[in-house]
Amino acid sequence: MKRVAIILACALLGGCATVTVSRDGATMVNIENSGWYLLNFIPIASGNPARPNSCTTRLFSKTVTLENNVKMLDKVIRDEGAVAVRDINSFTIDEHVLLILLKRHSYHTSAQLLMKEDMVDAKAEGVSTILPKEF
Amino acid sequence: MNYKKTILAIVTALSATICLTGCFTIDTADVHTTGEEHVCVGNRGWYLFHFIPLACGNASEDPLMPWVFFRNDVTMDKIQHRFMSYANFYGKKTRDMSYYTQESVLFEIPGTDFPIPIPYILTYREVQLSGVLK
Repeated sequence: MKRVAIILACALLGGCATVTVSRDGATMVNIENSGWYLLNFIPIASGNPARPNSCTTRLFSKTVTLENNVKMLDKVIRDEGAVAVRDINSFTIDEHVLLILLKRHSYHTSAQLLMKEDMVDAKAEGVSTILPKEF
Repeated sequence: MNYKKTILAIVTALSATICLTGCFTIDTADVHTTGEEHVCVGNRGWYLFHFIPLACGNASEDPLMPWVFFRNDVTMDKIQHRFMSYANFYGKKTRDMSYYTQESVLFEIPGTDFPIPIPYILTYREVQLSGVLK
């Protein structure tokens, strides 16, 4: 019973990095990375940005950053074969347990990926972010 | 005697919370595939009766301390000013700017999941501005 409780506690405290792509009408990408901190600053467990959407957690390292979210976005842009990106938006959410004893910190980033077929409309709207050819 | 110690512990914990959770941040990251820079500026603060600022992150350009007391720095004006200053400093143009604001008006009793049933006694406010620099 103790072991089950420990495993459950670890699972609940584990961080999570997720990348979701929605292709209904437009290609939208939503990225979330979350982690738990002790006394507001000491990272306990965070999501692994190198392997999003998998149950892997990085212990004692601060991976919940804008930089890591943008790295995941970069990878999605390449994987999806997008030619432009627009409406990149990020925000953070902090939830505290017992004042500053425990904090869940999450970073959210979303963007719209533009494919070749979207570019006719996008140019009309003034989107100028065309990716270099090597991408 | 124990009663005094408990009150002192609660006041200390509350003070630490108010100071440590009210902070100003500028996060930046390069989007390598587009050659642009993504910036997220945010500030948080605690208010008494919803309007009186207790402690906020210091949004000044040259802050002496990470916090300011009894001054409202959690405003769109101040956050946008810092965002634009950053963009102007690097000579970049801005786009995709969007705000995210959050407010908690029911302060939870420490150690429980129950909020104090009267709202607006202690309010937590947060304003974030994200955008792209090119």
